Amino acid sequence: MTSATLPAVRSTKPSAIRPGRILLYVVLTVGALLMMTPFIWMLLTAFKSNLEIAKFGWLPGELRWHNFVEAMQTAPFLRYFRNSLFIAVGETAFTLVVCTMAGYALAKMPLRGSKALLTYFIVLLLVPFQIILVPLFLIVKSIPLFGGNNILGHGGIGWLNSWWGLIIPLGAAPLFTFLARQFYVSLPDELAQAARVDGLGEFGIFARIMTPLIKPALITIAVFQIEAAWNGFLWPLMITTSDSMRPLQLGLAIFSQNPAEIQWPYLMAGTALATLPMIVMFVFAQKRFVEGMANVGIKG
Amino acid sequence: MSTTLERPALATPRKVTPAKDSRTLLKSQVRTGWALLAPALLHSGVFIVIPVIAVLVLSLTDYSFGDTWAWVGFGNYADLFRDVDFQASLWHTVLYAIVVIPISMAIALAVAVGLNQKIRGLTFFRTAYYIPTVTATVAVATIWLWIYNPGSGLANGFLSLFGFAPNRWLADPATALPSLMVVGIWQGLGTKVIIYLAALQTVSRDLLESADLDGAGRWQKFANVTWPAIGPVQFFVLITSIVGTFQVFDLVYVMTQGGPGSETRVLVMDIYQNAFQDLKLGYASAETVIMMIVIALFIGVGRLLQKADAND
Amino acid sequence: MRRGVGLTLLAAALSVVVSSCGNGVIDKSTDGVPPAEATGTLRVLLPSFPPSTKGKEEFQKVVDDFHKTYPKMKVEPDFATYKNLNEKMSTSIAAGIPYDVMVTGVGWVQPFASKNIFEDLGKYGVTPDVIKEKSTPALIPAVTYDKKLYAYPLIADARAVALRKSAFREAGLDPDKPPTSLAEIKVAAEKLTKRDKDGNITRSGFDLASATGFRQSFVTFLASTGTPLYVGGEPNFDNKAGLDTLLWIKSMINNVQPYGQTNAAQQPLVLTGEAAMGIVNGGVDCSADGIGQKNCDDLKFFRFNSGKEIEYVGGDLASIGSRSRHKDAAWAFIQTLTQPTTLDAIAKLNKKVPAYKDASNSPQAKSNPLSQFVADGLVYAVNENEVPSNWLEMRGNFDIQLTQAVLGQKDPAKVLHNLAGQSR
Repeated sequence: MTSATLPAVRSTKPSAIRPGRILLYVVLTVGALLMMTPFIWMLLTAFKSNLEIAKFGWLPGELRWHNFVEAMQTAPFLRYFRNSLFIAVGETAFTLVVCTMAGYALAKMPLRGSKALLTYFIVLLLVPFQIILVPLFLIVKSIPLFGGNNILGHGGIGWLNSWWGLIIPLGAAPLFTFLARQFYVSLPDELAQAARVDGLGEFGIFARIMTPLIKPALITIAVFQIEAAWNGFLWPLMITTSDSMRPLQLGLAIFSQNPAEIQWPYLMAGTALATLPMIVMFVFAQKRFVEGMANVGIKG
Repeated sequence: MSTTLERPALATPRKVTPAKDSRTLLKSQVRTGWALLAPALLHSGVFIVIPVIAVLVLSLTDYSFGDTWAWVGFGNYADLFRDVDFQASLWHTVLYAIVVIPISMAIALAVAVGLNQKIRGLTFFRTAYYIPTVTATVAVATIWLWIYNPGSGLANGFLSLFGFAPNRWLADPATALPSLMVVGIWQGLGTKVIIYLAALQTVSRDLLESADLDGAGRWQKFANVTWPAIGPVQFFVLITSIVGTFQVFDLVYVMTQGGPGSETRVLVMDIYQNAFQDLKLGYASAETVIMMIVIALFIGVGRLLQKADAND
Repeated sequence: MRRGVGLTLLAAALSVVVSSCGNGVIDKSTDGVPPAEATGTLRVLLPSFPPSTKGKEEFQKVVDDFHKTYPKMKVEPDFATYKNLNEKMSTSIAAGIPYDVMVTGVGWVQPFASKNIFEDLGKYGVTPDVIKEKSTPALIPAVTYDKKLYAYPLIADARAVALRKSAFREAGLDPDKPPTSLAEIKVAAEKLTKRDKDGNITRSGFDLASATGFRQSFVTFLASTGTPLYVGGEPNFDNKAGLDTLLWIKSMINNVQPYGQTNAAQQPLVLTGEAAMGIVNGGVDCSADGIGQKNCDDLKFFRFNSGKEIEYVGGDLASIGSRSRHKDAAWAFIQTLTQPTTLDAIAKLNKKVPAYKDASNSPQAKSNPLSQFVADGLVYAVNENEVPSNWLEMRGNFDIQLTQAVLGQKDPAKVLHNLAGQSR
């Protein structure tokens, strides 16, 4: 009897102190520092005064924590944070549901033309957001039966200036369907066979057997989608007119409103605070990565 | 050691599947398949395909937000071929893509392999590599503007540490685009590293162990077991890299606005300017169509280069 | 534009009727209805108020004022930024839900007026004489298209020139006699440029403030010779004055200032001491939070004069949407905006100068020496003048081609000729 496993590939050999190992650490650390330096720079700049910023200097004279406080008080940032959170969570939930279903169907279901459909989703990746901005805006405005529209989508403002408009159009990107599909594809078919024998329906196989197996992909999708929603600027700007629904990045734009007088300490402080939740989220997501890859196998 | 998936304790013996059942099975699979696919198809149809059709239609007009507009057939396309800005943008974008894609994929894979060893501080390393990706692009661009400042930026400070003369970076027509390429690679690494890591972790340990037993060296293991196993994911990273580099915009818009002159002008920037600055939406739509064709060509080439992905 | 086929698809799928937030049906017109009874929503797009808490408070005062005449009209502001103005305006136009009041800048009026997007303000009694009397006459060409007026000035964004007295004295020049003509400036700048032993410029003699492009500085230098960029929408720079000016710029770059030199914080270089002379904005913060009193005292402000004393002035201009259903209300709103107290508030929020007649005595002007200086100089104001209808496109062309001329990639005379040909 053979058994195949899908565990995490990690060497169980004890890590000997070899020159190769040391080199590895050095290279990785240098790389990590290169990655982090700009962010550290941003953080340090958040503590500086206006005068210090105009002249170049690494370190601030003193740790002006009040920069952070004042930055957050310039506008209702708590509300912006809340809005961003809402949009990010909503969009991610929507994406996870829609894209895993579609990815699985493309990977495992015997659909005629599934190869063509995959190409369809890949081709959709080509479309740059900036150019479909105007038609998309029009479509969102004409969603029937919302925002005062009649059944043909006339007369009102549809999903403009609404949470629907902020979340749905940009969610479920073809990218994530593609990614989910690539992960589902590498799952062995025997798993499905076995579950079928046990009387599980196709949808059940998808939901209870296959999808839990691609947890790393799910987390990856979630991380990317949350980050994209959190950092979104152009679409929320276009689709909202009232301030009450605007997310974080739009709030940060206040500090660079007047090009002749950008409020650098506040901008850097605000951006640092905005990036922090993403970093924290990522630190937590990593652990699930590893957990999700625990021992899974099949007896054939 | 391997463990097995714990199946629910059902005592049903294995059924024999007569021909009728396999047909019903197929039908139910097809039904489920379409049902699963439907939301994504609907969503993409409404929010992407329809706007794209609108763009195609617009590309045949001279619509510019005015009261009147007219059909110009392929007039926009003809004008584009004579447009100096478009030619510059196309060339710069292709150059940018050709440099950034292979370099960032190679570095990302190397880092992912490195991180996949049993090393300490894994959380720290992975977070560090991912920070550029979670930071908003506008913030990234702004910070790099500081770094590249010829008078007082980190970059020249770094160079002077090693005794090199200061560079004008973004202010020099010759080094402006390469400087942007560095930022592009830097920012795109994190995503790729994460995806490669996830893929490396799904490589069958059994296969690796049997390769070990066969006496395969590290490089042979990598080439013959790991590399093929991460095939589908490689393809994904390649496609998304092509698309991402071709659509670079925020970085350029904030850092150079396409300057000096038009040395760093890229396609999406040109499209955006044509659409919202010059208010020539019809013209910009035609440019978008051409851009999508070029990206499709690149992806086609990418697929050829990508060897045997059996599931494709 | 696109029809409902795909949407019936959507309607079938989305059979849940949910009312989303935000305004519903498009309004009925209120023109002709007495103000006290007019109902509806006035949609206002303006970058003049930052969406910070302070900005919104100030805006609320304007709304309260407006409600004294139009108590039943709702005001829905869209606080855009200057950078995204175009996208917001164009998508609203394409979607058929245009704004009622739009505040734009110099160079925007002509393109949008030519597309019939702005309303002719002559109907509301706005004439050049009215602007001369109550506002800033120098902004009249900026709001004119085809002999009609399409916008009303709110605030003026003026630029002056500054020199560092200490640098002047050090170089043996008299800070009380600033060089004002282009030729004089060049001579002085060359004396003031400091270099290191490798020949790299360590302190620029003159900051042309053109890191992002030479369009605005070209307009300024050209105007100082008495030559406006455009006259009546026709190019006026493909001539000796234009060529001389462009060649002058070319001779200054990489001579007294390295190309693309910019302060990382985007501050004018003469304020930080990285240049001995240079173009500045319309206000300076002399407090400890800003550049400090010592720095402030070391500055002397002056204006260009190569035949004509000038001061570059841009600004915020308010227009009414031609497809608005509340044009009367929109005009009333603009009138509320142009009350001196409101303009003072906007000026303070943006560190610019209000565009009313007595700007020199405005609180903002009195708040710092530079604002006072530029407010006093509004009589010398110049800008791109009455630009052609494709100016938004020309802006980009100017930025690119002037840079190419200065960097030696293209011939200056040919560039000017080309730009003149592209203007429509």
